[in-house]
Amino acid sequence: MNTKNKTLLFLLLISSSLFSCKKYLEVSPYDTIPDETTIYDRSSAEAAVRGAYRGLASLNYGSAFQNTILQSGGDIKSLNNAQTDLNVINYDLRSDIAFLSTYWGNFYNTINRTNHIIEKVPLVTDNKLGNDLKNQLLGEAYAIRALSYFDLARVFGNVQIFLTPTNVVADKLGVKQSTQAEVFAQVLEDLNKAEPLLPTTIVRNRITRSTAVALRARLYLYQKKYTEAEADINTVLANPGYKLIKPFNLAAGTSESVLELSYSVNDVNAGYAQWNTSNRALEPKAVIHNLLNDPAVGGDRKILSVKNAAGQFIGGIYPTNTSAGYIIRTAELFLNRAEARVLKTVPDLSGAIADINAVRVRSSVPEISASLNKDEVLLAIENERRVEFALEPFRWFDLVRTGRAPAVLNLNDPNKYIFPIPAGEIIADPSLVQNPGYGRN
Amino acid sequence: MQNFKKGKHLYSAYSLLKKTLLLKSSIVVMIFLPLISFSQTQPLINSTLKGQIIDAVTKLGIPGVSIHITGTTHVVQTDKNGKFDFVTGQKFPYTLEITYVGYEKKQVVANGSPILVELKESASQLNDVVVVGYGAQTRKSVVGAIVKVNAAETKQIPVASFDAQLQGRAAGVQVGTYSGSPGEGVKVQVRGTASINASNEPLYVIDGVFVNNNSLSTLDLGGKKTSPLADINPADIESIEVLKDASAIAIYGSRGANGVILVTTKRGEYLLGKTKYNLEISHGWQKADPDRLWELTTGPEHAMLVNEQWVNSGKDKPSLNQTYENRPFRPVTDVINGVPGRGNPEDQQTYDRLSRVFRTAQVKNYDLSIQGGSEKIRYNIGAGYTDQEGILKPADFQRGSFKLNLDSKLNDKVTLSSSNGVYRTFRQQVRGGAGQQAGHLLAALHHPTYLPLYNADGTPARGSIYENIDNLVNTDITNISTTSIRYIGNQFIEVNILPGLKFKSSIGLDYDNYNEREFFNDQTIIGGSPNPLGYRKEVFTTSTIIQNEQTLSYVKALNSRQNITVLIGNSIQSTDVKVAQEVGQGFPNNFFQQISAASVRTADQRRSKSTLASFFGRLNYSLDNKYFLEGVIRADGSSKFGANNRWGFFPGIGASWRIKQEAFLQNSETISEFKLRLSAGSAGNQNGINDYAALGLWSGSAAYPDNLTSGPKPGVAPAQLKNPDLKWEKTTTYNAGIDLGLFKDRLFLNFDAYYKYTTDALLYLPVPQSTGYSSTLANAGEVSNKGIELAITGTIIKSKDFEWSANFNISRNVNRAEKLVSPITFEAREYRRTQEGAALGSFWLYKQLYVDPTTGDAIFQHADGTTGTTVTTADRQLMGNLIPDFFGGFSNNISYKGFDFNVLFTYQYGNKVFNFNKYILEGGGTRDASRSILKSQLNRWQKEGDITNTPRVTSVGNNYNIEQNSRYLEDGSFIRLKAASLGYTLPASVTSKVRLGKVRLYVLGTNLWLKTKYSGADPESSGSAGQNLDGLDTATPPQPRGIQFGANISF
Repeated sequence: MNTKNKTLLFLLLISSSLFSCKKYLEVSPYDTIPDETTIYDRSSAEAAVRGAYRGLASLNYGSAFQNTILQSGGDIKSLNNAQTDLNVINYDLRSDIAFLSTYWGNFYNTINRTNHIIEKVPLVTDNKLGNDLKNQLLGEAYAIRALSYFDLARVFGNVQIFLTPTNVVADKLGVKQSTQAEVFAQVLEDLNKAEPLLPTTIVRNRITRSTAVALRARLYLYQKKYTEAEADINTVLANPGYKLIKPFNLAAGTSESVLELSYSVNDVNAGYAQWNTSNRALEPKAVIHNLLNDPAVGGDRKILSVKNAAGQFIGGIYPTNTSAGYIIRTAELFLNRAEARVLKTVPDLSGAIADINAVRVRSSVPEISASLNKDEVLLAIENERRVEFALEPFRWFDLVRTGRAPAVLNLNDPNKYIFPIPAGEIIADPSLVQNPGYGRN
Repeated sequence: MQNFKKGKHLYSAYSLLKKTLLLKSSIVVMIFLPLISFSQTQPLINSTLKGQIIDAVTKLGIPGVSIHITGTTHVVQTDKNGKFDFVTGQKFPYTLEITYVGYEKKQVVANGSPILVELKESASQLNDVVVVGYGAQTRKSVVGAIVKVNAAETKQIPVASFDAQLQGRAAGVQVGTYSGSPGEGVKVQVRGTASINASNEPLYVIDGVFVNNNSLSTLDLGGKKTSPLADINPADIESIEVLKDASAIAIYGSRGANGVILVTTKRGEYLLGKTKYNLEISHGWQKADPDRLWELTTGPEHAMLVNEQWVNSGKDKPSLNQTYENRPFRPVTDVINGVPGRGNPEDQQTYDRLSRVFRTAQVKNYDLSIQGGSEKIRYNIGAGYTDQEGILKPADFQRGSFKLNLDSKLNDKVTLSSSNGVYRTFRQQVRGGAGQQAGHLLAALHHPTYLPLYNADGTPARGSIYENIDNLVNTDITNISTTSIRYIGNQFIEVNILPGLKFKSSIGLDYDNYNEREFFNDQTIIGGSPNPLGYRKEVFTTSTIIQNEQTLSYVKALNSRQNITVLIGNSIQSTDVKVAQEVGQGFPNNFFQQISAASVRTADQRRSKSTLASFFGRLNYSLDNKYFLEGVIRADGSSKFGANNRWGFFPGIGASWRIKQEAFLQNSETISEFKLRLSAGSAGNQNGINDYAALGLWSGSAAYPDNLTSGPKPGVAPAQLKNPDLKWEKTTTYNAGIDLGLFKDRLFLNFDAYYKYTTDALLYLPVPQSTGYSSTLANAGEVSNKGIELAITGTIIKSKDFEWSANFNISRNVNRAEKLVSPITFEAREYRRTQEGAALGSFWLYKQLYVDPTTGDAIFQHADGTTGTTVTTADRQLMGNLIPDFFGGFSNNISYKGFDFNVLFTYQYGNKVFNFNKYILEGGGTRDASRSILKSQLNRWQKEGDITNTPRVTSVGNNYNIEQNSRYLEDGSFIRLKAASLGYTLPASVTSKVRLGKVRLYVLGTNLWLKTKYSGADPESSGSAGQNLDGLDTATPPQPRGIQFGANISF
């Protein structure tokens, strides 16, 4: 080959590589799929709804959220002794504390998942996706969104409401915050939408009609709609699938479980490591340990806190790292109804006492007197909830909701009942206004 | 370096060349021109010889060269094209001596006509060959800002990777050694940090192969990363060039913006004659400087502080119900609420764990190289073995390497070359983290000293969150290791199409099979009850970088005054990383360690790929050896960017003026070189961003069951917002430099000033999380770096027996975020923040002004100018950064007769370090039984009138519960005696008797002295290799102090 030919060949090589370049530079991802091909048929719609549940289980109720709420409740202490734990137990949170941003982001992440479902599932045309299933998927998405906004509002108070999926960042900029009451109203609207869409079956690790109604009853307590709360719980408890079982045991998979979240070896229940491994992060304080182990108070619920050979208190709620996480248990329905019965316009004290005793009897502790007055019954509910949900993130929210935080937690500043809006969020969206009592940002 | 006996090899068939030069001078003799017979006038004709003498670098003919047949009086000179011919009565073969002013004298054996001889310019700084992108230039013709580092100088520093060895050697190159554990990541920054979220590491090119510099480590090592460059044996390296300015880096286009580090490995020599063997053996010991290790409180002191904090907190907040009566360290018999006391403070024991994890480590190194070459083939073989123990048990780094560089001339036009390196590294690793993951160092350092090592029943005791230290250092119980098999090679063919016109095509491969293992037996937290017994993880990662490049270069002398060099080329490259991971839990017993025996088995697999296609060209023009011009352009297309912005164009231009060549300076005795360099241009950056950063993505890892019995079923969730406009980060650089040689270059000075401006900076723009995402990658910032660099090389004394030379370099870089949409904070703890007008990643803290002598409370500065004990986020302020005001190194090399003495100091000044470890361990006793306490905590405020900056110990208020307290920010300036060596070369009269060439024995000390105000173990420590997290000392093993003995033998 002479030189001229070689040069020609070289030029040919260069130019041919030019043409093939465009294709060479198209590389599709292996582990992920592009936006456009997400919800378009039955199985992709089902997968998206499962993704929303995973968000609920592994983001919303990830370990740190429970950790913070449990410590705020005052009966559980952290063994990590991170300095942010001091901020938590002293009710002295600052907006730049990292976990706040994590919780905020987690809730909205799950909400965005549900928004995609609510927008896209109705548009799917697939013979295999019948109306019932389509309704079920939509109903579940509404209920998951409701639960996420409910917790978001309980934690942060004044938050923005978004009901459509994010396509570009600008979609979500510059929206005014809604008040906690407005967010609760939105939660109610979602639950009302979900109820008729959902099936009446019982699937304890998915949301069905009874689950949505039970959630709505919980919301009604926050909205002080006691008659409605009682009615809803009556509806749920009328279903023989939800009843208390004696002796007390962990509720997973039983009729004591109204909604539980599932974990697996790949998506572990982070709560397990918080409590149960030998280097656990949380420990029941002596006071709650002693209550749980008092036969007149905790009864069979003493399994929730066990003193080991080294004298440490070991919290016993998640036996393995794949144990279910509890969102609503049947016992809560009884105690919620008890509260509703006491506080409704025409109090039903004996009904309330019966509900409390239902829980106490199943826990093998003596019944409370039928002659207690209204305040005494309320206190009995509070005390019962304290031991019944000793290791679940209830007490903080309960004490705030019932106005008992000053008396019980010595926390008189109502600004501290909601956490600060994360500082980074205010920087990213200056239309956010910091909650009162937490400075400018 | 070796003299061969004259005569012995002179007329042998292959050894045609007598060599007297330095190792690095490579001489190429090539049969080239067609044989042309010619008539002659001499009656006795035994041979006719025709040939050409060319410059080894420019490949241009050299006129006026003298060619002399040794043993005769016959001398001819080359014509204007460097050609010569003569007829002689001598018979082939005979020796030619070729001489020319400014060039090295050369002897070649002619054994046929014609011959082509390459002549190298004589060894002086000006004629030094400097490797540049896709070529080489002589120092005097270099236009760009390029530092050449001689590997022979740096390789003795006993750290595993060559990038760490660069510390203090090159102006403008900042090297940070994060940790004293061997084989871990190093920070290398050339001229500051331009990028916020894309990588700031330079591009590494080894023998033309773009090598992977991103750690493949997937294990939880507490933020520590392994260094992929530690795979490469420094002993194989000939030289390292650092390209810094636009005209030098623009040829690397999109990847050049952070500077380019070109590594050239040793090659053989054609016609070398006797094969050269070189053996290097060294053995050393290293340990942590005991004065720099952390000092902890004793058991009684710890207990006393915790009690004091307990009572103080109780007074501050009565609702805590904390009193002296129920203090934690009270008599054991004092049972409150069913909880017995832990014993009075004075009853506490003190248990030392640091001595159980630190050790005197051994460092062994063996290198053998074989260099040889015949007329057609040359080769260099390097075989090496290194074993470096870490001072922190059980860290160990072992590397076996084999290097073969082979060049073979197929015929007079075609050369096939091959560079091959095969490396096996084994790392016994330590965890760096805290908490459940139980870092090896932290389990010793952070474990409260009053807690016993063993329980009463003899089982290993654990603190509340730490693994027992003896369980961690015993590799039968906890074993974390990585084996990597890596091949880096480049195969190329070079065709000399016409004189001056050369075509080169290459295929390069960087393949890394990276296998990580973890095993925790049933005694450990991770592998022990109540978890399934035993935990094992295996991760298989393969990284494959394949590249193909073609270049066509043309060198032409336009006339006697003007030369041009033209280069054009193309390049394609793909990078493919695959990860497969398996975890097994629940083993029958500790003898079963393979996952097949586990009762619970899980697997994971992922893959990521990117491609890059490029075209590039360069034009060099020189006039009168006085004016030099260089123009460069590269076009890069990357799969990482949106379809709209896939291609980027990066031009660069440079010029230099050798003022010395002007008439008014030509005869100056004082000034031996004076050169002015100017350059401007742009380069890009895309390194370190996700391969699919521009796409909107949903991820599949969101499984959930359909009912209680279905088990998990696949689920999807949004993972990333799309950004189809994503494009190249672009850095425009301006550089002005002066090279000044004085007194025949005895004193040589390089000075550079630069300005770099980065636009479209790639950054993870924080977005409101209400979008469902926390950030999106965007081109949303502008960053500037400006700086000056000075390097001085001096030969202070040079006589027959005594030589003293010194090098000094100093650099300053000023970094500033010029434009940002909003301030960006980094990672969960947000210690560092980038905001407009300040240096990237400045520390963002609450400023503690003082401790009130009356109350003992920390007083903070408020944003509105007032002071007080309370703070809100608005009170945080930027308080300096980790960029030094200036940094550099200086070295002295002294030789006297057979002795040589070298010292190297490195220094930096004005950078800040956040002593995170101090924040953890000076927690005022609030961390009680979960962490140890530093001795410095005893300086706390105790009573009215105490003047101290360590506040009263309490868990209430802000004395101890502000993580980002400026109290922990310290000055990180230091000067360090990095290395000092003393060597002795045996006299040749002795070594030749035992048929050895050169024998040098030496002793080398490292990190012998450190001067710093920093209170942590090492001012260079950084907890994490993440670029936005460094400057945060989470406690790492300090750089060890070491001594080693070695021998260097050639034969």
